[in-house]
Amino acid sequence: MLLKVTGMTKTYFGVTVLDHVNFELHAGEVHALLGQNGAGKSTLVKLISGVEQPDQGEIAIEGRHIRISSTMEAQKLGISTIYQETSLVPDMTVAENIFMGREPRRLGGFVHYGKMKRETKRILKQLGYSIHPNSIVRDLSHSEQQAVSIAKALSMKCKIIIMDEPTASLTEQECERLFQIIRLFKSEGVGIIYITHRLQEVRRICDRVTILKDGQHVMTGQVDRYSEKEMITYMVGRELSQYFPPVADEIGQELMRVERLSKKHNFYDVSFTLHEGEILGIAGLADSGGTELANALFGRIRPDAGTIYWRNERVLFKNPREAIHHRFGLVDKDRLKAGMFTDMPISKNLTMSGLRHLNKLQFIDLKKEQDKALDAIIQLDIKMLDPDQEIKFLSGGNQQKVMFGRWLVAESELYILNEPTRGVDVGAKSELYSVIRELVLEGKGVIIISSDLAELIGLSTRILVMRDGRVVDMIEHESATESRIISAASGLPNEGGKS
Amino acid sequence: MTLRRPTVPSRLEHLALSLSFLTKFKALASLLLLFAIASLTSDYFVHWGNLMNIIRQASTIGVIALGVHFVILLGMFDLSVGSILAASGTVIMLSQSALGIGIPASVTLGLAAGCVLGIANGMLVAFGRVPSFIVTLGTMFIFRSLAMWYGHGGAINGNFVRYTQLGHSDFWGVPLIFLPLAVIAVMAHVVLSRTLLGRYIYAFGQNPYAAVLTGAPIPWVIVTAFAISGAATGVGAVFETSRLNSISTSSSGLFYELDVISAIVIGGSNLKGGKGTILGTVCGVFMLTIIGNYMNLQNISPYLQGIIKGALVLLILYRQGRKA
Repeated sequence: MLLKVTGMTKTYFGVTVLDHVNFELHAGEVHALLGQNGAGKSTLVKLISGVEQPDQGEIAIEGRHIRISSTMEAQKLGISTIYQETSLVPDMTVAENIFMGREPRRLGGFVHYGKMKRETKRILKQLGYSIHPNSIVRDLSHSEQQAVSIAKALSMKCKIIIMDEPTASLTEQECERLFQIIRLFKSEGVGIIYITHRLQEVRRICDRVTILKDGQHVMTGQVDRYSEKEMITYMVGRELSQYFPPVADEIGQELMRVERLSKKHNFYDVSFTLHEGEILGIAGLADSGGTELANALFGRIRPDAGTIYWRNERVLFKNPREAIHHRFGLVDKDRLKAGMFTDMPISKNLTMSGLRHLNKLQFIDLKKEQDKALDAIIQLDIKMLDPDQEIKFLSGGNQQKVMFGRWLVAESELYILNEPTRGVDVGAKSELYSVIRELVLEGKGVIIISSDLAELIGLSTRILVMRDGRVVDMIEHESATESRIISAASGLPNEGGKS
Repeated sequence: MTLRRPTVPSRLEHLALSLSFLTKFKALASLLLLFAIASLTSDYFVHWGNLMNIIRQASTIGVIALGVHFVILLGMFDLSVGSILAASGTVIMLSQSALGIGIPASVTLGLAAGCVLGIANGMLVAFGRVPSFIVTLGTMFIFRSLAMWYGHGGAINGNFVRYTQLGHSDFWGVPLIFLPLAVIAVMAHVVLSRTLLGRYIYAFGQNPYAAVLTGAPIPWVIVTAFAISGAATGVGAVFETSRLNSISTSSSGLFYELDVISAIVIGGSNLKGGKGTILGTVCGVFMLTIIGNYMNLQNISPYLQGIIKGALVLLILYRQGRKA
């Protein structure tokens, strides 16, 4: 037994986030750790990697009981963690990052740069990457940065590697590469704890799975004995009868018409129409222009050419404020950077975009504000202790609901959702889907940009596929399949035969 | 759908709640503690005359701090307030002596001057996209230089003896200038906690990116905050000139910006923006003043005051840094 964790318990402010959890990891095993946001996965990882100390419980590595009092200690014990956001120093070179604190020395203390570079090159090559050891980490793509983190783990000869949502921002190809690396680790007897929200990945590369729910251990078993649906059931504790709400068949008047919208280097000649009650999906590989298109519609960037009509009236927004006054709302893909006011209460986060509805001679109608916030909390079923609680204490899924709720309070009529369910657990996901469905039934318009194809196909009335900033396919709901979208988005022929 | 009510909070949560109450009023608690120590260890400290003296000493820095507080909440700096005080004071004194206009008109002109200079700062920051630290460092030199040019680097005197009564007379035993100070403090608190402007200021300070995306009218918010800072400094100039019936274009208000920022930091505001209360800033101002006053009473060399102030600021910033 490589790692054995027994009776792990951790409490914050009287809330038990981890309750006597047991976990085992064999050498050469990829062990998936699943659970909704707030189930206790990240807490368990923090305890194993020495970031935090357990209140109770024991950790044993290769049968030896140990206490991991710091991340340094964890590294010495051969435990390495690869986070979603890489923990590299952006302004240092690849080689310096990999060997930080363990630089090879010669002649009484001088760093042996030659050796460092050779080693770096060798390890990266082993991983299938040809990154120059002198490249500055900041200039690398996300997947390359991740490769550097992995190289760091490899060079430290780690026994246990924890990967926290490693594929969250990788393209299909990059994921493939990562899986090969994981197989390489496996063959060398390294144990891997793999955290993800994508169940398909679990089936592809994991051997065993452990599911946590509300801080408690639910099950551990061989991956091939369970279907995805069974795993979801364990995670949410109920059968998800209806993952996606049905697509609306009532379509109203035209809401928005976009004609030949272009922005140099971002997107070109994009045209589409959106009616009341429609959900327009936008698909595409990374950097295909969807995010920029959303930002242009919302007044964040100014298009070079083309026109936007809103309810048959030509509009050109100078800033998001004007777009919001026309009842547009945008949920950004990066909640932390461009969404939340982390230290503000839930209620104030909810009403931030709708303040003009609460404006009494420049004073905020505080009573009405509380009412509006509570309405949104109830409508979205946001799980919280108190509306005045700071938003940072909510789980990711509930934070995302607040980001949605903000536009409900603002009484928006067009919802531009950029990766609305990224990093959100399955239960919260299906709740968000029902919210989107309700919006559409009320005659609102929705535009969804997502890298989750199942989500796009399940929700959208129509899917616009983009490649290199151009619209390459427009697919109606009935004929939407993953293979058609992938072939259009990648430009590769579809084996199924595209019409 | 029903609103899910939480279970009864545990004892630990109660404890956490009451602790958060304490931390909310940390600045007030520290001020009271300081007051208690000073009154117990000095025979002269609690005398009415001395306490009123403290209020008088605190008033100029205090009113400026109330204005600069708005800028600090945005996560920005206003280093030009010392120079705005000199410029605004010059306008008041000059308009009395050279133009010969009355007290109300000269005071109005002085406040307007402060406000205009503040707006200039705000426009440069909001539309010029230059960091506020740099902009106000530049305008600090420019405003001071303007005042000194008019006054040939010397002092400018006022014209009315009655004007000095403003700075010296008492009202029920309390210095008259305490009244505008208290009113402005309450106004600042109301603006920050109850108005759209206040909400936008906190939002921008916490996450400027998200503030734009949620529709806050950002250039306008920044300009207004700097205008408030300038106008409050104009009030400070009225306090200062009415006490001396004179303004020194070269030395009035010198280094006030640093005292103001220290007071705001000691009052618990975060220099990164988005956090801090008016109550805290008021407490910070009085703590600084009381420390100076107490050291005088105890016959401690005034040259040592800098060490105490500096150590206090460092200590607080160190703790902020650790929390972040």
